[in-house]
Amino acid sequence: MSKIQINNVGKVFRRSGGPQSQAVTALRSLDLQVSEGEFVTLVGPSGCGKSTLLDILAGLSLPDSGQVLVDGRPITGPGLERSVVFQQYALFPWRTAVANVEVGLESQARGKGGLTKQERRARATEYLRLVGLQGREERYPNELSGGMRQRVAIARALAHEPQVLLMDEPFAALDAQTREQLQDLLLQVWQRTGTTIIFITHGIEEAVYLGQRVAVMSSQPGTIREIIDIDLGDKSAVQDIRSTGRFGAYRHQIWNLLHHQDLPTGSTDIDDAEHVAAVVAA
Amino acid sequence: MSSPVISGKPPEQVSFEPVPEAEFRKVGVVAGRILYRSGAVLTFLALWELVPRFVLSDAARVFLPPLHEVLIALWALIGSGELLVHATASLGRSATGFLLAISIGVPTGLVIAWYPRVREFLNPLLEVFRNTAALALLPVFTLLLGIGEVSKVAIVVFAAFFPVLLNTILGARSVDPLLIRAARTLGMGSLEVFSKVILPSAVPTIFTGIRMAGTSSVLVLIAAEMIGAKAGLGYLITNSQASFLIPQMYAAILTVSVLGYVVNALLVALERHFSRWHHASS
Repeated sequence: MSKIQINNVGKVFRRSGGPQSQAVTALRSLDLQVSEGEFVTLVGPSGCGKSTLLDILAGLSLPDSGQVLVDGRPITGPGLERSVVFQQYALFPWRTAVANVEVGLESQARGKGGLTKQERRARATEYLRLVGLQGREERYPNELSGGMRQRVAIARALAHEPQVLLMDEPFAALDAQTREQLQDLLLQVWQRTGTTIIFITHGIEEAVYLGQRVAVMSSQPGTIREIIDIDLGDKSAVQDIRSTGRFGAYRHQIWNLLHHQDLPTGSTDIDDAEHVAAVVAA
Repeated sequence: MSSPVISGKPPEQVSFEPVPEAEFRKVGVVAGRILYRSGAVLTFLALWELVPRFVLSDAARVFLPPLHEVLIALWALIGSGELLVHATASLGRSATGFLLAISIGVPTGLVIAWYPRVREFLNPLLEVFRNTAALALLPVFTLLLGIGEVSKVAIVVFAAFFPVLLNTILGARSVDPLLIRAARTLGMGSLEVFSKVILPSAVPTIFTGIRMAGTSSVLVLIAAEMIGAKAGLGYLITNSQASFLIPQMYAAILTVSVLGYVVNALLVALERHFSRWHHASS
C-alpha cells in the first residue's frame, strides 16, 4: 500500500458571494501515489495549483472532491506526522534558531511520551547540526542569511521526526549557489532519515536533480499530466551531474511537457526525447 | 603617519606621535557629536539665561526670570522636600492610571482582535473615543467621581487606555498569516497559536502603544492637577503662579519636562528589551 494516496482530488475556489461563473477550478481529478520513503518532485507552471495541492496534503485546506489518504487514513487537518517547509521560511522571528526547531517538539510533548525540556533542547541542537548550523543556535532569524533560515526551517520540520516532509518551493527565494548547497543537503538528510518527501518546484532542473519521480503538472485545471521516473544512478559519484546528457534529456522531456500542453502524452520515453524535439520543431 | 587626506590638514601639522593623536581625535569626534546633539538644548538654556538678563525690561524679567533664578528655586524646592511630595503625588496617580490602563487595555485589545465581529461592531465607537480629547471629559469625571484622587486617576486611565487598546488590536491583527499556517502544521491548536504566535508577534506594537500611553498619562495628569488638586506638580505650577512665586513656577515646569523625558526614555528602553528580535540585525 502506498504511503500517500491522492485519489481524484478536486478543488474549486469561488470568489466569496460571487456567482458560479467566477469559480476557478484549481485542481481537477488529480491522482498520485507516493510510496514510503520516496522522494517525489512536482513541477508545473505558476498557477497550476501546486500550492493548493500542498495545502491539502498539509491539512490546511480540504479537497472539494476526492480524498487524500496517509497510511490509508484520510487527512482531516494538520498533523505532526506531516511537516511543511515553506518558501518564505515562516520562522518565528522572536524565537532563536534552536527555539524555532523546538516548536514541533513542544507540541509533541503535550501528548504522551514527549521529551523533557532538556531533551528537546538536545534534539533541536542535534538537528541544527544535521543542517550544518552548529554554533548558530542562539541567533535570531533576522541575524541569519536566507540560506541559513531555510536550514533552520528544514531542521524545524524534521526535529519531531515526521513521516512525510512537504516542501513548497523551499529554495525558490535563494541564490543559485545556496540553492545547490541546500539541494545536496536535502538529499543527504533524506538518505539519512528515510522520510517520504513531496517537493514542489517550478524549476525543471531542481525537479530532475532531487526527485526519484517527477510529476509534471498542467494548469487550468491543475492535474498531473505525466509522471517520469528519474534514474541518474549515484548522483554523488558523478561530478556536475546537471551537465550530463542523461540529465539534459530528462530536463528537455519535462520542458516539452510543460511548454506544449497540447502534445499527445505517452510517447515520451527518454530515448525518444530527440525525436520529440524534432516533432516539436516541425 | 596618519593620513592628511582623511584629516584634511596640511602634513606639517601632523603630530610626531600619531597613535595618541588618533586616540585624541576619536575622543574629540565623540565629544563633538555629543555637543552637537545637545546643542539645541544648550542654546535654549543659554538664551533662557541671557535674554531675561540683558534684553528684557525689569518688569518683563519678573515674568520670565533667568535660568539661574529658576535653578535656585528648584534647589530650594528639593531642599525643603516640597518637590518630592508633589512629584510623588503626580507619579503615584499617573502610574496607577497607567498600569490600570495597560491591565485593561491589553486583554480587551486581544479579545477584540480575536473576534472579528466584535471588532467590526466596536471599531466606530473606539474611533470616536480615541479622537475625544481626554481633558474635554475632565468636567464629566469631576461631576461623576468628585474632585478627589479617583477622578484624576480615571482621566489618566482614559487617556492611556486608547493607545494601549488600539495598538494591541493592531499588533494582534497584523500577525503574518504564514506564521499561523506554519504553527498549525507544527501541531499548535487555537490556544497555542494565540499564546505562542499572535501574542509574541504583537509585542512590539503593543509596546509602542504602552509608550504612547506613558507619555500621555503624564501630560494629561499635569493638566488635570492644574484644574483641581491639593498636591502634585500641576498643582505646584498653578499654586506658584497664584502666589506670585514665578521662579518656583518655572522650577515646577522644568521638573515636569524632565519627568516626561525620563518616563519616555525608560519606556523606550523597555520596548527595546522586549522586542529585541524585532531590531536585531547582523
